[in-house]
Amino acid sequence: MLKKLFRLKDKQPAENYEEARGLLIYGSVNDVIRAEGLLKKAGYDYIRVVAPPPQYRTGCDLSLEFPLVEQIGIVRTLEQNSCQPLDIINIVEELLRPTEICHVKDFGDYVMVRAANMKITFEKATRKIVNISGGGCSDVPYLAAEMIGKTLDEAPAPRDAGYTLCAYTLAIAFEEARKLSGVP
Amino acid sequence: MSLLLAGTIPSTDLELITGEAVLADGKLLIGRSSVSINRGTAAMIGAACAIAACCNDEAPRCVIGGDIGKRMGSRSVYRYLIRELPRLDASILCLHYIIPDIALHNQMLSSVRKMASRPLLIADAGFMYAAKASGQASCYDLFLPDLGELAFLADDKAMHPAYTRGFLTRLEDNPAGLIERAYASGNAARYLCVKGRRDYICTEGKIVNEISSPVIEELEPVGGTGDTITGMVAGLVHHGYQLPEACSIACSANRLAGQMAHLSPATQIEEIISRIPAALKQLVTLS
Repeated sequence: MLKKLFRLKDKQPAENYEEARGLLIYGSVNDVIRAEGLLKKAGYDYIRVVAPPPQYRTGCDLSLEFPLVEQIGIVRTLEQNSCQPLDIINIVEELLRPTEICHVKDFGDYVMVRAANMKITFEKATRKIVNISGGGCSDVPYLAAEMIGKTLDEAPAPRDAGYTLCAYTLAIAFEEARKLSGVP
Repeated sequence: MSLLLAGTIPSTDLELITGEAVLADGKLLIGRSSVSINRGTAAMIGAACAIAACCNDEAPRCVIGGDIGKRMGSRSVYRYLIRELPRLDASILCLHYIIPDIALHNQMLSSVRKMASRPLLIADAGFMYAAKASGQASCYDLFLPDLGELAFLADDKAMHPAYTRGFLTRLEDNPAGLIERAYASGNAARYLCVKGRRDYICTEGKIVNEISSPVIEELEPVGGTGDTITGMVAGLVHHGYQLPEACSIACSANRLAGQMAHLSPATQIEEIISRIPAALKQLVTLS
């Protein structure tokens, strides 16, 4: 890991140290979601989930952007939790972030929440999830089978049970649905 | 004409199954495996089987990987297609739920080019995402996006619908504008079937048909209602319809089947699939 740190600084020294940003690269969306959770729990609220740069893209990826000044602490936290990234690079370009915009549609007894390509529908009276639609990654039908019929309180969270960007997007819709239904 | 359907279903037990698919007692039988039709690829295959049965056509062949998101089943499907396509005589290839993998997708397209005659290429769900992310959308004959996915196709920077930029998602009340952007950026297939409150059938950049009746608002929350359109289109093209006509019939049949099922937002997709034959009979006379 120390080699990575030195390589990083040797490779491309930041012009503005305060604003320099690094990127944690992982092999799966699931690992990124886990690292994000660990870092936020450790107080690094300002880390951001972003798309990796083109050379690291496979088609369904996330990475974590962080201020380079925090690198030592962030890497230590991840190592202590056996969640080391595959690589750490520094970045200069703006990277796309996953959508956080939700659209809500009222169906009378039911409410549908959509984030990008993922939709979740629950019954107002019971908070029971009655349908999940949209998406294209392989864990969507799996998550639907695990979540439909359960309430928003008891259903597994897509951030924990899913593996892909569709699961990440479903998590945004799921969390909005929980807020709308009054789940704390 | 032979139809090959490919995708994944949520299973940790099976890695890959291949064979003809038939509907029996509300389940899909593929080879020796029985698969439940909940949504996704299974719903797509169920709808294609319903069309084949109505039309007295041969049953569609399938390549199905078991995948709950860990990629193994998706990779098995890609690798099967990469290895076998040059030897197969499929004239229609319908590609569905899968974890997008640009490198494997591109290898698969190379195998398509080695086939004796080029099949009609239909992509939806994860395969459509991979096709767009790899910059090879124009190699395809038909994409079937919903409005959120159309905004993704219109975004020349996004590699997955999750990254669609906000200003494009706010344009969803202007599907014609998104369609124009998708074609202009080279991120649309030759034909588009945009599924929504109003369905749009597009041919090489132009909207050639719009389907809006009967209005069934509850189709949107029911998981699998887009998948059934994709399966019906594949089945109807297999029967001999041209793509735009197949899209128009499938979108209308989906709405009629939804109406017959008296949908609520809690309805499950089996209720639609079971009514496809009756809906189809109202729309066309099949030879």
